[in-house]
Amino acid sequence: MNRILPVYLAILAFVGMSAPVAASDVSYHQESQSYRAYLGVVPVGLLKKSPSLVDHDKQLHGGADQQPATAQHVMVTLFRTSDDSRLLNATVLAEVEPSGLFDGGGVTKPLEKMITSGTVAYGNFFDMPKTGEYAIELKIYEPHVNGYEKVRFKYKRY
Amino acid sequence: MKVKTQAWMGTCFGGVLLLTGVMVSADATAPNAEIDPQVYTQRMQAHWQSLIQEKDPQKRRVLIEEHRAMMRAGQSALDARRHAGSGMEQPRHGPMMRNHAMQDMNRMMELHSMMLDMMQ
Repeated sequence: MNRILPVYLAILAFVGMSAPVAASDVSYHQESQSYRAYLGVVPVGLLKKSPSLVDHDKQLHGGADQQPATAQHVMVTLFRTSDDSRLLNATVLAEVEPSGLFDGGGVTKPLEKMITSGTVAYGNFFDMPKTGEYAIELKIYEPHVNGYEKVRFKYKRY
Repeated sequence: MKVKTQAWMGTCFGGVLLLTGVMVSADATAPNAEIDPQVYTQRMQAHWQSLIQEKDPQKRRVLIEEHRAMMRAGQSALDARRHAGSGMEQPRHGPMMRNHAMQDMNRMMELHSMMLDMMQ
């Protein structure tokens, strides 16, 4: 027993290391009652200087080169859960806050409508100066619809 | 008692080895064969995180090409599923696309394609 146990433990440790890593709880798609949202984040330093927007005279949310080096471009695509149609004319507000506290310390900005690669998305820059987990809360408004719906994401900045 | 303990440990160990073998086999067959959309989505998300964290521009270019290849493979697999079953093309919003996992994978790839087009 004493001779066999270390062998068992060593092999179990090897198996454990080669097993797939469990998925984190960071979320890239979330759903409210009426909407399904998909989140994409790109560091500002990786963006081209002038990507295409809905309004071709306008720079991407004021200009990527105006942002701090730690800024991230946060963008979402939105769909209705009722019929899977894409939201083309939503108004979206996003609040980004470290650690998901939502204690009023977050930054809230509108997500501007963008058409890139022929598809409608909504995005803006948010500074995420520290590594770690951030909470991103969307408020989604539609024309002729009363009120708004919330969707919350967790995002980990490395 | 000693013999019973050894037998119990041997059974547990055997079960772990068997499970690992199944997991490795499943991973080895993706994405060319049948894919699990949920698993493939997670793989692509993990690859995306590696891509945006890569500081070296040349390595990042390689990762971008890898990511585009993963997207092509994923799209092919989704298209194959869409045309499978009856052998006839499924309607765009038919039962196949109602599958949330497939929808999520399709929409994630669309979003990643948009982000790649915005990147240097």
